[in-house]
Amino acid sequence: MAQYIMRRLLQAIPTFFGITILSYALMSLSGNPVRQLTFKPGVKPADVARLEAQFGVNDPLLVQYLRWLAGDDWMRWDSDGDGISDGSVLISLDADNDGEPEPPGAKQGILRGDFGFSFIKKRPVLDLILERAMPTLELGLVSFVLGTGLGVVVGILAAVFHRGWFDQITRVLAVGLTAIPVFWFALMLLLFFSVQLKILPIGDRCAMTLEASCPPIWQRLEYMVLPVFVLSIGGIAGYSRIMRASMLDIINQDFIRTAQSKGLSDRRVWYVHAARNAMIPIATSIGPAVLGLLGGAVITETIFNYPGLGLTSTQAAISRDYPMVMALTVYAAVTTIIGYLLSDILYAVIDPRIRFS
Amino acid sequence: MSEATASDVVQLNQDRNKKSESANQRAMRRIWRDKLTMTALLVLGTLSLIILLADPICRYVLKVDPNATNPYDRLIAPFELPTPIITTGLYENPLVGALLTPFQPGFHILGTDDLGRDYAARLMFGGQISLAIGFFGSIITLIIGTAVGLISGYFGGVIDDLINWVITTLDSIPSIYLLMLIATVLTRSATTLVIVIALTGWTGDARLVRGQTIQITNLDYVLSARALGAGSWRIMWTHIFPNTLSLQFLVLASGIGGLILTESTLSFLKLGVQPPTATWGNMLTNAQQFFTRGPHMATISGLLIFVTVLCLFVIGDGLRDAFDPRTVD
Repeated sequence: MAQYIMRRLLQAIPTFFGITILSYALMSLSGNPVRQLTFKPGVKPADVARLEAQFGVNDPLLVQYLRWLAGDDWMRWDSDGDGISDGSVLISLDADNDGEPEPPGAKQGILRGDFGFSFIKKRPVLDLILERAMPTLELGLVSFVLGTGLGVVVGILAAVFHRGWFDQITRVLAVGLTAIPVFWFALMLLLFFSVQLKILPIGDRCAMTLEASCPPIWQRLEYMVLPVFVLSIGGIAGYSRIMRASMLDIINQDFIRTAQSKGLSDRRVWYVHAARNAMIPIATSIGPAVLGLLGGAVITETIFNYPGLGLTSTQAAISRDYPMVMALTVYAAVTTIIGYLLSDILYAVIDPRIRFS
Repeated sequence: MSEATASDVVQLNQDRNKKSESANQRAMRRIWRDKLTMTALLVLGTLSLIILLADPICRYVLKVDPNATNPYDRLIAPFELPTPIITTGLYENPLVGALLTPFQPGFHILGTDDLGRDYAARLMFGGQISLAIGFFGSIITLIIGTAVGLISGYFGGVIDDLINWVITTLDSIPSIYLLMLIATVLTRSATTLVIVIALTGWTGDARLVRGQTIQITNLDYVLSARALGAGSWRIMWTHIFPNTLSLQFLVLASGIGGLILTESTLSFLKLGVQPPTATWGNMLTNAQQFFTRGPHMATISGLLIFVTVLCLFVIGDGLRDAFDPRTVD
């Protein structure tokens, strides 16, 4: 088992590097960031050249990628502490050939959590992300629990009343919910509950006060209702279908017939023997669920103006804040990788029939 | 042994005729009988026809320009009569007047948006873009996915590992983040959006084709083709590729539906097609600001996306059931 987990962890490493290569390659298409940031009147060409040399935007792409990934404090350093660099690898000590060495590298690289500065907010990207992570986590967890829970219950009931009215209705609803544009569904809910009926707030995470933080979650449930509902419908629709199919599959197996012939009540056979075994496939869908929640959060948070990472991503993308977009992409990808990992490990733990080879 | 009577022969012939029905004929018969799929086809066909004829309809019937703004006609509700309404001449007779209402100058059948542009005209032209992105996007996706899947499944080994790595990497980034990343770098237009969607969306098709290719490559007829001296590309193109086609044809409809959803989401988030070009997605971008004054701006185009995608999904499901050899009549 430990060996299996270890191997799955090792498999995640090339994927992680693939993601960093892909996002860096895409971003390098956007051109020279120093030119973009200094594109204003009064900036001297000599200063631009000096900045370019300092940040190394003219270095080979591979070196630039390494700098973003692992930092440049090991590429150009100051060993005697006088503030003047005296050693370098991969990059030259005096990049702009003015006779004086460039200042020592100060970047830590994303592997050590240094995602650089936001172009727009002029603050470290990591700080901005950490500020916004909590609301998204809150929204995501509540939606995940609700989506999985309701989906499983609906799926079990649909299978128990197979071909009954409940089964038919939930089936139609599940198809409908996958075809509905999530953002439009959210708009319609807002239009109905917040604009027409005026019973739910129109957005944000809590009422605006002088304090920067929000009260505990149970005091602002009305702000959570619509975003959580919108974010969990995908889960409800998906899980109910998986659960229903899995239940109908299980119910024809021998151990169910054994349980029935032992004289157990139908209720016990359905809800204990069948449902427990039918839940195994749910474990495999945690990975895709994380993927769905992250993607859904972008749309949901944007519409409900919910101050989380999803809203931050759209704002960063619209204003072309490259360091921010790259950091958020890496964050989303890492979260997804972890989701898939958990889902595989969980699957192996619950189902002893899985072979670790 | 009793002799076969004439009626037995007739019965036998009927059985033979029944058996001779090809898989495609049986599938067509099933679709024809499947009321839900037929309804979806009908609705989608009507919608597509109206959208395709957007130009002549706007020019000769509605007499409006989808991009012409008019500050005096902002946020008119659907079916709202223009003021002043003409009641002279032909319009004097109440019945004739009512019938001719759509031709009154200043009448907008589905109202106008926040800049006074005719909503119906924008819906039709926006539909052209949305449908085109969905259609061409999935065709390109299919081509890339098939090519990659064939190569990966046929050659195996290092090539397969490498391609699998790329696929796993692409699939680990939630597609909306990947699309946002690309939309940040590139200029935002309909053409870029098609390319972007195709470059990120081929992994599912590639997995599908790869699986099939591995299965087919191990069949005897491929072995015999190789024994006869056929080269790798010939085997892939003439012996394996045609056998993967039917499966892809079946996922095409749902694929187009999915892409229409993606396009509308990106355009809604201001990361897709940019105004003044209308798409069903970017027509909803500003809707939130006009909830009270123009709720039709939020409802109609979203409803059209929903209906179109639902039809495509239903058709996709219907096709899959109809062509599934395991389905019993």
